[in-house]
Amino acid sequence: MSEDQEDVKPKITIVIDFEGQHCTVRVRPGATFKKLFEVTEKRFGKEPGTFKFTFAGKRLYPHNTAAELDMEDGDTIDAHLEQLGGGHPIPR
Amino acid sequence: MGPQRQSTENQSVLGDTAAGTWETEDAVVRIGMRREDNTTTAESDSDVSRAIHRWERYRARPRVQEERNASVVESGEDGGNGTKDVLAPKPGGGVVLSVAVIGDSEPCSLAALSSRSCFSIWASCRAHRRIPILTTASSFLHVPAAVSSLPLCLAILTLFSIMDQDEDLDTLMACTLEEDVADSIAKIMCFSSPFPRPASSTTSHVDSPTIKSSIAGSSRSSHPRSLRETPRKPPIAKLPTTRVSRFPPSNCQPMAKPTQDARQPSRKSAGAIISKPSSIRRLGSTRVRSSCDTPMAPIPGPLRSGVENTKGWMACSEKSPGKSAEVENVPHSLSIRAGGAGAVPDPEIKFYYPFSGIGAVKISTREWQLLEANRMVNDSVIEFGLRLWLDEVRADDPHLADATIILSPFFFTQLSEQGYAAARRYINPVDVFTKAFIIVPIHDKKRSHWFLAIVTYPGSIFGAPPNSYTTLFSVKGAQRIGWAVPPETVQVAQPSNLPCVPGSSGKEAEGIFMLPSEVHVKVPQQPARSLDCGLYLLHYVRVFMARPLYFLADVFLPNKLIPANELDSIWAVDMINDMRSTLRTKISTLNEEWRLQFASSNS
Repeated sequence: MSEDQEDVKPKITIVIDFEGQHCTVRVRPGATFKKLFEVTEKRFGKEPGTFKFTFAGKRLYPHNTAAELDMEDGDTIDAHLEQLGGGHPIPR
Repeated sequence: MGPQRQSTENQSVLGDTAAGTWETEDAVVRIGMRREDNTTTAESDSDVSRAIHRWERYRARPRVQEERNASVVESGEDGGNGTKDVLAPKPGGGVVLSVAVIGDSEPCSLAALSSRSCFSIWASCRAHRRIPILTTASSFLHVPAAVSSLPLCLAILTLFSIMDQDEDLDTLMACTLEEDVADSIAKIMCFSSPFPRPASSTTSHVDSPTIKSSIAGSSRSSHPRSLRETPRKPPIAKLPTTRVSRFPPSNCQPMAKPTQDARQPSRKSAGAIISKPSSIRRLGSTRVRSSCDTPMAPIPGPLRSGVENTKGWMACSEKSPGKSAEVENVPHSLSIRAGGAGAVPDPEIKFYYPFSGIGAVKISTREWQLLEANRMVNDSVIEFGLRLWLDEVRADDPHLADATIILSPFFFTQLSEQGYAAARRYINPVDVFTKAFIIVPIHDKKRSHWFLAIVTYPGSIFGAPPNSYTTLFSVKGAQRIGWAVPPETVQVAQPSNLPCVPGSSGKEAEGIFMLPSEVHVKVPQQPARSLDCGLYLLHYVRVFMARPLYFLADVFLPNKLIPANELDSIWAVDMINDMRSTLRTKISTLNEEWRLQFASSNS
């Protein structure tokens, strides 16, 4: 990060990866992810609350912030759909 | 069929939650008792305490045996490293266990899933200058394919592990990979994720040179011209820019020309930021707002479908960075409950586990409902359960708990669908090779199925080769279907010249790695029509963690045939029926604690 941006609380770029599709947003490190999540879900045409987000394998919630997670510019958040499993035998 | 089920289930649950039925602990209790469909679970107090009691008894059972087996493990394996520490990696002990819980016992899903290269990741993710290694399940199942794809994978892994070093990639690349190899890797990374189909057309490019991939360490300081001048290496040129996140999406096309600034070393992230829009925009499906005030031109691409959504976002973002203004722009229907620390407790959220800290698992009404009989469980339940067991172990044996790592349920999905680059994000900060056990819950999306792999002593792949190969068994019937590739096949020429040779013990630079063997452990299978595979998974992990040494020495043996009835008692199958109620009890207890804590912190 260059110095001239330092004092204006620079936004960082976060890449959101959903099954290989990427979407890039810029957020303030101190802002919660609520907005980011909403935007992502809209972006991928999903209902609010559909995605589960992870960063470095850790689950993220709308009240987390990028600063809390020490995110840096260019970091990737993964978006997932819920995984449901029951192992019901497939009818033949 | 799986998918349909899933969707109906989703709907019903959404409906339920909207009704807001589940608010207080009272409700929890009430619902816990309500069981029209009491096929398997039993939740009355006595049942629960019996379950707990049974579990305690189970845990207490094998201690003596374990002592005995510990010595077997250590002396029995060739070249035991002499340490008495059971958690230390042992030469000869590297095993991927696929404890598969498969309703219809089709080994094919194992071939497709269990595999793909768990090890490639682990081997290469550690940022500890060691030579990467790889094996895949398919390498066991179809040896010829394995042999041909192995060098290729090695090369890719070398590349990845070098990237981990966070150095000037160009330089390292030049010294590590010969040009054509680098080239084909570039191609592979560009066209598809690296692992799923490494044996395809690209393989031919790479046959022999790759093995040597890692030589020429002496040229480390030489100028990386070969790369700089190769026209088709944009992804590689892009890679060093910063981290994996810069990876092109797996389906992207190669870019005609790398932009100059895309090659800046990672440290200069400011340069990298500027370079980003130009490179990313080309991918079509991505958009970048290059500055706060500049509206973006519409971007063609698959994601265009949500046009008004996009506009909504733009409206928000153009408006101003001010938070409140942005929120106003969000349509009302979109607003998500804030939840979390500091807010009014959301009735939907039962608790986060652990209660504080980043990355906790959220247990909400949804998870509670899924634990009713005959429902499929989701990733949160799985992760919660696994963490619960780990904490259970921690109370008993902190050493063991520290030596165990639980991977996210999303990890394997990422690995199999998007390859290493995406999966690496899940384990990045951890050196898995220092762990004794890695628990990998695996989700099979197509079949809506959970199963499990346990990796034992991943560090031992750096040890001496074993005397004999390990036999592979299929899940069903334990018939022998193949031999593991002999460890010598992975020998890397002159590895001592590698820039990423293990720093700690130079002796390992012999260059021989043990191919991890894969044992498909036979476990009691879930009954037909049961939807309990997630609970089987949780149960097996719990049982394994209660006495890992016993399992290593007595159960996880490739040649061992255990009679079915014995199998049931080894795995304590009778306790699986209590699993849902055990978890629900745990959830309501924790919920209570959480609310108390919440109340006290707010007052």
